[in-house]
Amino acid sequence: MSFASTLKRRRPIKLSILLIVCAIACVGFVMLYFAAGGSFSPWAHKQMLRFAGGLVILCLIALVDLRFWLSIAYVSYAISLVLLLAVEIAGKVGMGAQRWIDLYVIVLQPSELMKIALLMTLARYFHTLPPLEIRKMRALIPPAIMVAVPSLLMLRQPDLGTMVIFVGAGASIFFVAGMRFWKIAALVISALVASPFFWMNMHDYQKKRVLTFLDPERDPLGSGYHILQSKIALGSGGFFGQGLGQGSQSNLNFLPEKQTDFIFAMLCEETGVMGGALLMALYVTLLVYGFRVSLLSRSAFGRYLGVGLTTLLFLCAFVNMAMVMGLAPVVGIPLPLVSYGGTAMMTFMMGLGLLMSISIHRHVRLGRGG
Amino acid sequence: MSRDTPKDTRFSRRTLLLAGAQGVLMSVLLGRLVYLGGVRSSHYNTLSRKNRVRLRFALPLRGRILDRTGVALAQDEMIYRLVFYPGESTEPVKTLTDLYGVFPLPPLDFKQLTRRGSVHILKEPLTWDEVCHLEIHTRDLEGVEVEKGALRMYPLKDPLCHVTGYVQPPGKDEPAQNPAWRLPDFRLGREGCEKAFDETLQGTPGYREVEVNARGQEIRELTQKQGIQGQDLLLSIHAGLQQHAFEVLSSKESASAVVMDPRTGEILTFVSTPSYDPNLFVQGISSEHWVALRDNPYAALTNKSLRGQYAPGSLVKMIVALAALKAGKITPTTTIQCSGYCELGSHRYHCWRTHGPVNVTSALRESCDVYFYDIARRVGIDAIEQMARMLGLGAPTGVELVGEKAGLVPGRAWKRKTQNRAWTPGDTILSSIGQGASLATPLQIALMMCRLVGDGRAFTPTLVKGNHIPLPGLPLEPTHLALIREAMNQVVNHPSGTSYAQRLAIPGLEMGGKTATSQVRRISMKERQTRVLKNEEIPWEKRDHALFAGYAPVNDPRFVVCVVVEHGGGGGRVATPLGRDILTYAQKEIAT
Repeated sequence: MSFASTLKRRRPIKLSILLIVCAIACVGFVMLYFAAGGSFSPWAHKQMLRFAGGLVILCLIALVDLRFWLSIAYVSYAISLVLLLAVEIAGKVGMGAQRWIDLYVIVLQPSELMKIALLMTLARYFHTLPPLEIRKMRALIPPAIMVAVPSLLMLRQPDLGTMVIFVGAGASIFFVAGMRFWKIAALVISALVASPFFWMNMHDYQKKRVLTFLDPERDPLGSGYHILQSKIALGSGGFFGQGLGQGSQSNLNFLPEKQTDFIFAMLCEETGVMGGALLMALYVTLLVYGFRVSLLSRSAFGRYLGVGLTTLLFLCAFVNMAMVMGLAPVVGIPLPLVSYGGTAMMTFMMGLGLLMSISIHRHVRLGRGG
Repeated sequence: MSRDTPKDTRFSRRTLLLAGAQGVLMSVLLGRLVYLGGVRSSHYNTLSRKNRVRLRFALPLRGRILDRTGVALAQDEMIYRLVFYPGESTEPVKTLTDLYGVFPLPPLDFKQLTRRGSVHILKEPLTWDEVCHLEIHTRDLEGVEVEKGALRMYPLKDPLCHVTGYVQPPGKDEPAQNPAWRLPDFRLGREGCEKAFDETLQGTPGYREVEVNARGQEIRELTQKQGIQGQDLLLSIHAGLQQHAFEVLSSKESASAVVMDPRTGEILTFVSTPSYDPNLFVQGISSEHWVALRDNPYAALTNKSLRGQYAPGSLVKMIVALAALKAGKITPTTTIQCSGYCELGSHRYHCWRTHGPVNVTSALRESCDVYFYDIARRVGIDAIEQMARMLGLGAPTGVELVGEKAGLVPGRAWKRKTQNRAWTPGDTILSSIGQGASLATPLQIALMMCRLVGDGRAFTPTLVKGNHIPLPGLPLEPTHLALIREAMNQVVNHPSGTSYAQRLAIPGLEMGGKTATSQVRRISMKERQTRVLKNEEIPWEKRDHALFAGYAPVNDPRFVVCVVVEHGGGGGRVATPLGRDILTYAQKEIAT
């Protein structure tokens, strides 16, 4: 199916899903507007511009044939890896710890780009794998390396949270591709067995970092303080909230990073359980859409990629909200499409664009050769 | 249309399983949200600011700073203070007026004091009688509290101030790094070790969640988290020697001294005079004290051992000799005729007297300039520059303190960069006796001395006891180092040595060393033709700096000293006796 014939269809892009995406982003705009004390600057207006740009990219990606995405999967992975290495080396050589590449129009963070590229490349790998090969151990080694190399590079940054989400989304593709259950169990057990060995080989400062990661209360002025304040904000909102712009925790700056990682706490303080639950419902709708698209796709590539992208969205939303509610350690994971920030927004818009492309081209049959 | 293969059904099954798992997790989140916002809402409402629950941070004790024998140089002492929380009073002005009625205080700006969201210390430290009086009379005053607190004390005051530095409340325009910064008794390390080791000394604050009533008084404690006390810092400094050196140097207007152990790189004494009392800064320094210190003509606030830069003068001669020996340009017996001056083109470079025939040992002993003019030109500036850097000059030594100066070792690249001119033989001649552009800090000179007498071992200087940081051994011949050391022995202990009159005449404690006089002004041709003015005849700030670098005992050096007396005049006469006193005390009092 060509690009032109895609356009000829009456409604190539599902409007309802676009509206859901816009609704989530609007929640973000409103909160950013009130976070700045009722002003579009410094956050809301920039975020709106970014979202507008993201929508264009989403639509463009959605309209491109899935075969094209299949064909560039490995290439995009290789490019992302090179970029990731480049910023790593540039940082080491002393040109400043620059973790992003400025393309003037959009700022690309290689680790963000890598998230999408990894899912594409894993989907393509399992797509081309002959049936029953998945049972063989040696078939699992190349994709494991594909996950491990960028993860280790990310771990050096050090960004444990991003890495966990990255590995988690990758693992979902292994799972749905049919990796046997006992292998998954063996992997989990061996990781648990190996962890004391890593622990013993770590420097003191690294241990301290991990301990604070696991138990933020150890650091009452840092993340422990944040969690406490965040829980107070959430709890004091009640069912209907204190009203937009009325949250005392947010207004008095008790709430840390209210425009980025802790925006959900502010939402709940000001709009209550209802507001929080509404946003969760919007996310769940997107997740349901993602799984539906995956299940309906005819091609293995589309299926696997769909599940991976959906899981990525789920993990980011879940980890952020769990963190704000004191169920997960404080890691710097933004709330998808809501938190202030351009690079994460771009990742999710690209991911949603791919999901729509899978949906539009669900009848396309893709040979194993790609 | 192919029907579902086993692979497809497995995919569907697993996808649904994954979706189900995600659904369950999302439900957990929703449950948590309802729990926090609904069920526990009243609890968190109590915790929210409106309902007067306060997080009260408690600063831990700051770690002590101890000298190598365990004498406290800085420590927190428990005191009582009168504190006012304006935010917890319904009528702050009335509360304060009432307080003034029962407890006389100096007049303060009520407008400033009643600004909400801040805490004010009205008086500290309080005497025990005042505490009792206040406890009885302030029960009903909202937001007025007697609190226990800690105050940083520096028991040894002035002599140690450049080592300990001091702590101070953060400035008003400094953004708070964490909530503890807003506490009234929070202090930041500002100078010396307090600044360099601020993080370890500070420790981790604890906090209490307390419920307060409408009057701002504590009703009950909800949770408590203990802080972690700051770590003590055990310095390599010897307080007794430091105080002795301070007394010795205080006979001069402005001086500095460093004592190091050449076997470990530990700094035992780090003095700079005049000095100041660090206790003045702890509660915020008064403006008249500050102005007096800032305008002190002898730079009392500056640690001259670390930041003073002086032309090293004749001390450079050891470097030149060592460079020439290493390059094979001279042997221990190479002899040069000193006729009182040396000519290069039309310019005449003077020696301070006519020595006749000299070799490397006698040239160092009698500080003959002409010998070094000659061998410096043979060996060339590059080798001299390299040797100076190897011995620790021209770059910060890496000691833990902040703000160290780098000194300056002139060379071709430096001249090209700063003046855009080529290096000339005349420059080499000036450099060979440490005049010209050369600069070194007293710490660098002490470090150089350590490396000269340390049998080829090299350390980074340290202020922390036991923190020995060995560097790769120096690529120098032991016989060359022994020759230089013997020459420095003769400077002091040979009857014709320049410092024989100031020798340390106690058997077994003899010292070796080298003096230097570093010229501050240029002696004009006209003045040289008539008569060179004596130091006493010119203003203080134009007199020469007096330098002495020494070590003791001569056979197995345990101590290295560098003394610099700013504008003191001749090094041998002025600085050497001070160095001798310090080395005598060190050898008698310190067992290492």
